[in-house]
Amino acid sequence: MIFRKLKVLSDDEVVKIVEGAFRILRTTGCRFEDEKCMDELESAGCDVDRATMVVKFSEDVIFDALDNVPSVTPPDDLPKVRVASANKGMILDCKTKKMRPGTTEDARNVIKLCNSLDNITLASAGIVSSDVPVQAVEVFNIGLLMKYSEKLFNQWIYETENVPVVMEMAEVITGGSEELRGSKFLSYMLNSVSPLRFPPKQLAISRMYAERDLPIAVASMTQAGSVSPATPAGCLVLCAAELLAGLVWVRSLRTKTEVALGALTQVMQMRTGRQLYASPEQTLMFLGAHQIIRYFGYCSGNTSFETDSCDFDMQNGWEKALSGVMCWAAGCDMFGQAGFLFDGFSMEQLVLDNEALGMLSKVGEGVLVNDDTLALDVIKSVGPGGNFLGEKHTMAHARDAWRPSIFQRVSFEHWAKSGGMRIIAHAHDKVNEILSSKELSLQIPEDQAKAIDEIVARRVAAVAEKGAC
Amino acid sequence: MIFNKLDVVSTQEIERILDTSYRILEEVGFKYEWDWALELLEKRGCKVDMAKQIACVPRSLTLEAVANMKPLASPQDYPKIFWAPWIGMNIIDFETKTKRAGTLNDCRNVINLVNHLENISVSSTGVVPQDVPIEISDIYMAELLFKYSEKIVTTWTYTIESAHDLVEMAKAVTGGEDELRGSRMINYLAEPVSPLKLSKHSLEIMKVYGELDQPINMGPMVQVGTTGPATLAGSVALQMAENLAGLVYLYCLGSNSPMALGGPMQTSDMRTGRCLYAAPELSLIHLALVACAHHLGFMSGCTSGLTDSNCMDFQSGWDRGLSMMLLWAAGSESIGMRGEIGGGEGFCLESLVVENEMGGMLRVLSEGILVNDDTLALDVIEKVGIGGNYLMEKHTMRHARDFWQPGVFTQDTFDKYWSEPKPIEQRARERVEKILSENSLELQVSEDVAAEIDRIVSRRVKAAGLQ
Repeated sequence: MIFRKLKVLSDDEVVKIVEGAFRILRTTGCRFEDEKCMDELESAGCDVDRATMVVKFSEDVIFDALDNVPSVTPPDDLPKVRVASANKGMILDCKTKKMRPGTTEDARNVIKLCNSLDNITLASAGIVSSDVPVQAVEVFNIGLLMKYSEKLFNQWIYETENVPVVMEMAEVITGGSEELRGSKFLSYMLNSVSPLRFPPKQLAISRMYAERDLPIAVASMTQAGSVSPATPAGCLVLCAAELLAGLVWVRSLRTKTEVALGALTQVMQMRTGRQLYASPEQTLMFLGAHQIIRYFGYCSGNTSFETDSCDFDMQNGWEKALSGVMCWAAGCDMFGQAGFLFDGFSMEQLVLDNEALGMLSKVGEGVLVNDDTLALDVIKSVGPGGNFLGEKHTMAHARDAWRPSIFQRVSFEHWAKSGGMRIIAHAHDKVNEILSSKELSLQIPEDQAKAIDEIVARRVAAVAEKGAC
Repeated sequence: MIFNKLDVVSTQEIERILDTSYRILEEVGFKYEWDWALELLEKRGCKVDMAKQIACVPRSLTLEAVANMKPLASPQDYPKIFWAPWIGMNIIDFETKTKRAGTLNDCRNVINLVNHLENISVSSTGVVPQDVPIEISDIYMAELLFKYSEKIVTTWTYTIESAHDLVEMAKAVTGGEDELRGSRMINYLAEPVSPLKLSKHSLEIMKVYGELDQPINMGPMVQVGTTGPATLAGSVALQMAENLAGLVYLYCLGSNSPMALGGPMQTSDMRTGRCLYAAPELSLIHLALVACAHHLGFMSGCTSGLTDSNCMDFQSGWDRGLSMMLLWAAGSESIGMRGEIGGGEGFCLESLVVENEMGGMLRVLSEGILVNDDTLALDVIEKVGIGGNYLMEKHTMRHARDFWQPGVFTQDTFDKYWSEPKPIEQRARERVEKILSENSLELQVSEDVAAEIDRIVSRRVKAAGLQ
């Protein structure tokens, strides 16, 4: 049991940052690049400039949104380990150490892996299949996930035209439009484009989800030093402002959509302009953003549990721990992208991440304190200088401990004699073992699967036809 | 600034664990394997069985000792970084995948490295030198540290003779007994033998250092399932009982030694009996231990950041990160020790360098998020407005160098890294070689003091009949 969680900001500091966000929304505002939003936000009481599409927000409007837009699930202060499998364009070939475009076969394999890995909470297809027309690939992936994933899943949607198709597929699974409404079967992430913009396509897609009362994650993607101030506190002001602006817009839709808030905060390498995936400043901003989101009363998520290493090395493991463990200790509801390796997907990384998260999940069980676990009678019976190996109490609890699946606990001599392999070799073996021993089996009835296949085929054909024209 | 630390046990649970510890000392007793100590404890109200060398310590005496002994530092709710190199028997060579016994030269190299690693705050020799007589290797370790370390040191003391020699060396360095008293020249790690025993030589050494008010860290090493119960709460209760047994002894001695409580608890692989250096249960027991030490008003000293991996791979980074982050988040003052590899198989100079880099990242976390008018940057946000960028802002220029910069970690693109891959071991090796080739060990004490230290070492070698 975890009784107190980590905080890096005082309550006063949280208020200062939030007050800053209120000021920015009042004086500078935020641009919603969608005509319909102007009507929606004006009717919600915002000050709208239709020519520039800039919307300014009063405190009342913001408080109204905070009071009335429900959180996805009530925020819970106890740390959990909830990590989604990543969605990337390229996939790593572990042997050649080259990134290559993903294929439909890869997508099937990633789903198979996600089914078999206990600590990956949300499944994904991992990659964008290059052997499917690009405008239909998200429909194709969702089709696979709906048919074969044993877990809830996540998949980015970039094409507005794909949303009705995905909804149709979801209705096949849930039983119809009314059954889908308000469920958590599908969700969408509305990302701001910092500073202070929401692009038209994302707004249009979000609206389609909200109209069906499906959950929306409003996320801010600030980057310290480029599209937001170079100071973490300034980044958090901008992040809070963008989250609140998105929340007010969701409120203006007057639906029952539940919302989670997310910080996809980044740091830029100031010498090269490269986006960094793991830095201590980024971890601090995740922790600060989580406190602010909790202050608003919402579930929080972020993109922690990532690395700047291009190898399966000590830096990789350390950086994943730096942000992942800290966000866990702070009680973040959702973090990370498992399988992520330098802007690509790696099945071996997914297996390593799963193993690491298993350890963290075990920590989440806490220390059980009762008469049996305090074991005073056993300590008395053993006495000074004895040992506990032969005690019944020891036998009864000998299997309580976490056991590794691939992490190594062998002597140096044994390790060196057997080739001195790095953990990646064991991860690679584990990937092969799962892929060769498990079959993808349908998770839905055959008639539903057939219906899904037909919808996907129709979309793929439509895209192909459009491309041919 | 960190405002809330992580707790995995409630106050009520801490009190229940500590209540069990008090009961262990009172009802089971503790074996002090030195009659002199037992007589002392008997005079202070302990029920002593001289034949069995067991003293049952009344709860009132334990509480009195807790109330009166001085903590090494006050526990605080925000984490600090307090890292020292681990001390092992072997040096691991990555290139040849071999391990070999440590030498005096390795000790010099470790001290030299630590002098130049900004995030390693306490020095040690990293290995026990085995090209000198092993029974007096502690004297050689102390000699090198006292002469060459630019930082506070930690080392081992094996025997009462060594304790007297270390005191003499420390007096030479500080200027005399008065100067030594109250200093932190000698940090002794008193290690009870679990369950519930302190050997005669440990008690004698504690007396020597305790009478000179040198800091004493209690370091019991209860191993869950073998020398302690298989349940975490029971092992933590036993570990705290052993901590308190040392505390009571020093209190009865009338020592003013500042103390830290905690110690390196262990778990084992119940299938093989192998002692584990990284496991989730290990993190949990150390978190509970920190909470218990803080509850009693003492700073905590636990090991963390160790690994069962034999190389510098993902497992090595995660194993270390998991336990270090959790202890940091819990506000543990000490999150040592650095340079270990392979489940205690050896010391690794390359790993020490990488872990120093990790320390730099943790240091940034410790600084927290600075919140003031400048960092909130409201004027800049308003000026840049919607859709602009901050690259050319003076505010950005001014803070562009605030960010942590890697040394051996890479931030290269994937293609760049794999076009000429240089594994982390190799990058760390280059850093080790650079530091060692560019810096020679320099005396940190005067020639006279160094000569006096050498004289003490020679005298000991002669007295022991060793060369």
